[in-house]
Amino acid sequence: MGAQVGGKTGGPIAAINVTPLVDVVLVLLIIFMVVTPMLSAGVDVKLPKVKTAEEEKDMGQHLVVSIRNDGAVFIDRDRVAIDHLVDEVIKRRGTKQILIKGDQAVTYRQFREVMDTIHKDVPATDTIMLAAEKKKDQ
Amino acid sequence: MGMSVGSKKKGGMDEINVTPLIDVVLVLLIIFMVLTPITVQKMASNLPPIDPPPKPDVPPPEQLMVAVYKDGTTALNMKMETDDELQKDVTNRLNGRASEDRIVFIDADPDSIYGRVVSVMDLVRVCGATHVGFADMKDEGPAKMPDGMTAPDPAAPAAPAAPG
Repeated sequence: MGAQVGGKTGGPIAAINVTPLVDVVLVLLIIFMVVTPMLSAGVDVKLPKVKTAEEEKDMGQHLVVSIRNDGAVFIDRDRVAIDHLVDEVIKRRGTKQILIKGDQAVTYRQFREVMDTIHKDVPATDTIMLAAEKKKDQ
Repeated sequence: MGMSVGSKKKGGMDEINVTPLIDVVLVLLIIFMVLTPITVQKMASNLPPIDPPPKPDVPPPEQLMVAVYKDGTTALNMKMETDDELQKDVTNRLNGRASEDRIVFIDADPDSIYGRVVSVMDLVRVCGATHVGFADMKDEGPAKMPDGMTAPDPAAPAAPAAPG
């Protein structure tokens, strides 16, 4: 007696039915393929294109401060007033590196306002990273 | 004759063998899951210390100051230059310097476009600059040579003053 697995009707079941597994896995695969290029940290902005950007995987080591083309400032995905920028940056920073993601159409003044605010009142910000999009080599 | 598909023997093939397909698809899935963490492309910028030491009256001649004006034009140490001239002169000036001395400052007009400032920054990095800094922003923008006067050629800064 005891547990009896498969083969009740004589002919043994040769294989597990994998069709549903394949379905699920294929769908997951397609979802990842579609979503991957769309992912980016912070808010969606049009980044300036440069030749000399360094590429680095983002494993959460950046605190992303985005400046949208209408001048709105975001930390990660949350809109922040410029008056609260410093408090929010200090609160969320931890050991993260600050990355400013400015839309290419903002004015230099708007960019400097954000960068100078952070630089002035957040400690250890002598180097700030600027996000850019790497131009494909011709 | 002709093509005979499957079922050569009596037993017959009920299903296609999907095991290799699953193997491949699972591996692809895992590859995508691992690669998904977002890549960030970025450049470093350097900022002056908050309490800067008193400025020397005369900027050292080896200092490279690239101005970006409101209309997107650029100047190297106050001499108006196109992008190509800028690339040539900055490359020459940085050539032979130790990597920690390859410093270029960018002084942009507040009303210039950020994208243009970054592309100038990119240009000087292409020229070999390892440290790109932003000068303090002035409301009136970077200084310009008055009309009719020409700035000394920044490409030849080390030339000794003409005798007499």
